[in-house]
Amino acid sequence: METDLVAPSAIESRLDELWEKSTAQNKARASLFNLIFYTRSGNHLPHVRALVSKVIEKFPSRILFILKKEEPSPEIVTRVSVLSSSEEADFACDLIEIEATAKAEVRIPFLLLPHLLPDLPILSFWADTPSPGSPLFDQLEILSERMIFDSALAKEPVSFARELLRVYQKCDISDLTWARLQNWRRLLSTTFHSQERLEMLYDTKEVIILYNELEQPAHLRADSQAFYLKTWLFCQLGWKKEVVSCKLLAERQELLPQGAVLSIDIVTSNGSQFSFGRDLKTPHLVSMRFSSLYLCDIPLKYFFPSTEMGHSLISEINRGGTSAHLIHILKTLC
Amino acid sequence: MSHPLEEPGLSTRFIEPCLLIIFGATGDLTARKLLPAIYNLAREGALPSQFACIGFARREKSHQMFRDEMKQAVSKYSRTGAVDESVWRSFKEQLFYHRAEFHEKEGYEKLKGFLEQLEGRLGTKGNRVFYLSTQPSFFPLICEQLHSCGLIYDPNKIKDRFSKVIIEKPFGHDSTSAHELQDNLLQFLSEEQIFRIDHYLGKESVQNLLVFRFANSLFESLWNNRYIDHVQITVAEDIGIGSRGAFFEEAGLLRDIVQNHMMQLLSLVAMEPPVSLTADAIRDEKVKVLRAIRPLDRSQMRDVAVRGQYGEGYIDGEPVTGYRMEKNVASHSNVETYVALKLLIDNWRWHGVPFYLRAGKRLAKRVTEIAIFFKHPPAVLFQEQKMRPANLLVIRIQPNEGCALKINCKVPGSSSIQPVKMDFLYGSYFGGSSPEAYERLILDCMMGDSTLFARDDEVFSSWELLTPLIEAWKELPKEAFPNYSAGSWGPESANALIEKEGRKWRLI
Repeated sequence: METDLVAPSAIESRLDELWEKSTAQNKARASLFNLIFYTRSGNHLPHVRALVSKVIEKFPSRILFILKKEEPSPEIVTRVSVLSSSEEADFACDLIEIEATAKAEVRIPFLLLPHLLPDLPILSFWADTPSPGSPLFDQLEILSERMIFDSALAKEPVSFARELLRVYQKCDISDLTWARLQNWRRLLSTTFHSQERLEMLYDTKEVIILYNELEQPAHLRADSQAFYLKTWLFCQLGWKKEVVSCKLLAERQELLPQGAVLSIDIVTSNGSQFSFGRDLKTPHLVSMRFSSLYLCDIPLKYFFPSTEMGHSLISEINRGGTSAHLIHILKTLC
Repeated sequence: MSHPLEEPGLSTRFIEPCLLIIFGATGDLTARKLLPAIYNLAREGALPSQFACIGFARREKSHQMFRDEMKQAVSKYSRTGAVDESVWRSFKEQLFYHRAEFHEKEGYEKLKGFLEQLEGRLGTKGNRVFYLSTQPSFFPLICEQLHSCGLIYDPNKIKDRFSKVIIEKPFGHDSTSAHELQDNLLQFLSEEQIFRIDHYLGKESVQNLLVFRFANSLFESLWNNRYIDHVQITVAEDIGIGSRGAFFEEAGLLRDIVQNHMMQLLSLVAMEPPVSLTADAIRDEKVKVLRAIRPLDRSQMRDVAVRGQYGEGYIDGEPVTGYRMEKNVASHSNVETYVALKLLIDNWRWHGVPFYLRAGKRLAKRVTEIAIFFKHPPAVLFQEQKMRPANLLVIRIQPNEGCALKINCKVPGSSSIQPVKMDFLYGSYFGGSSPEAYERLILDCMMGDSTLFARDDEVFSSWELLTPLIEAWKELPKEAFPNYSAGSWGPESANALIEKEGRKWRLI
């Protein structure tokens, strides 16, 4: 990918020049959304950059990548490039990168505004803890149709939840940690779809959730998914802490990403047990075993669809509205 | 009360455990479409965990042989490319093969025993979907055998499990035979158990027609005889009939494509907004359109219908044989490989707007599209505009799904007007590979959603419209076939059909 350092005033004209070259290669300029990525330099940066590449495979968009750099970098650096998912792809899109130090933060919204394509939805992925009061954050709240966060980046989930609820007053919100649980949520709601099974679930006395805790990447909180899963079950089923005991346990499994839920065990008061576990050799395969005092079912196998990097972000970009269950969880946490 | 763990908007469509039994499991459709579709559903985690697929066919084969063959087929034809070994390892355990003759009861009794054994082992609760991917002549026989062996349940008596039958097109070969087939099937099944598949309806771009029309006020307000001059629907294929010679000699293009795919497209383009998105609400509106089409008058058949047959020609610069030289085709065959029709819809919205349909084999390119030709604006201000093309909206179904709008613009620095095209390409915006039509349709059937399947009255209405044409063609003098070259856009008479009314087929 050719990235050109340009003066802020030359962003659009340089992009047009680059497009002339790309058009010669039969690439069409596609823009489905204005997608704003914000992150700060550090461990998380390569991951966010990789996410951009994944997202444009599905949704070629005008990408505005904002990187907050540490001093003593130059205050503002802007670059442009034409971004394509592959050499063979017949479409490509614009990438505008803005690097700024804290001192120049106040200038970012002014840099951003002229480069938003009109009439296209604006979606922002804020790969950091919410920063109310920051000029950029405050502007994105107003401009964005949706702000996407990742509570795995939060050090403290309750204040994070409070912030998300505040943002929700202004635009739709998504949490990638919540989105990553989609397969598990689907599996649980399918397993307990029937009234008979649901009754058993209401009668739960113990839940054990095992999650993956790797050393790296350290910036992602390992228990965030397990924590959300637990909270979801409690608030959707009306479980009481005095009645249902819930343990979150950690284990290390190199084949799975940080924070992935590895297994769930649900034990009812009459001794029935539902055990869901990922096949550690084939991580998208999950088995479910049911046993009671009187019978033991043959294990059932489920497939989790693609869990490749970027999948959750892509599904959240495409989502309509805000997950009602997520809001319920956030309110419960607050 | 809604389920506490299910969230609207999250695709938690619950699918009951079930067995899928494919009749004609050694056929082309199973290898090319059905198994790749089922594999992809498994790969996406869309199938219920308690599921198995059983191939039923006449050839001797072990479970393992069937699995090996299907693995090759999936690798070759799946939209997702080579088989993912980690998925296949588990998926293959859900694949089985049952050898039997379609007419022998013993084979069905053994099948019943096998299914019950699987149901006990997998916990599929007796739910069964039978997919009849066979010659249509076997449909009643298979259903009768399934019924007599108790493999199909009466939904009025048995409520705790389901049995459904998916039937491939064509449903009958004319109006009478379609009614006969339906009467036959109704001895063993109820209408709600019959899923008549037309894979066009499973295509994303066809489903998008409803969204395009009814989720955009811009188009719907213009969608009538005040603004639309005429509509052209094209289903063109550059391939010949391949190995389907015997079938095509019986069917011909009218039955193979026009009666089903094209009539579905026409009804989706012309229907009124349904009162809801339920299966019956949508199908009610489609049937109304079909019933409103002016019957084809036998005395005027030559004015509204043209048939053709391809002769030798060139595709991609390479010589190809004519239809009569194809395998299993009679050397003096008079079967049509091309059809052009002019249809009129006698309702409030479409009165006076002709719908021109053309479909053919071995045409210049493979393309399916709907072209909406708008009327010229009043020639008051830009008199020369009368000479310019009027606005045109093209909805491309395949390939390059998308739509294009042609509008007139002023040429900069000049006073002249030039048409320009705004083009939307589905793939550019939504990237990736869309689910195959069969994936969606198989899943919908398992869930009992019949929206994308043809209802009996849709099929009958379509046959009632076209049967007089089939009969007239039998009686009229034979055409001088072949009358178009492979690789062309069809016979001259098709051009005459539209040009006599001052219009032209769109050059695609």
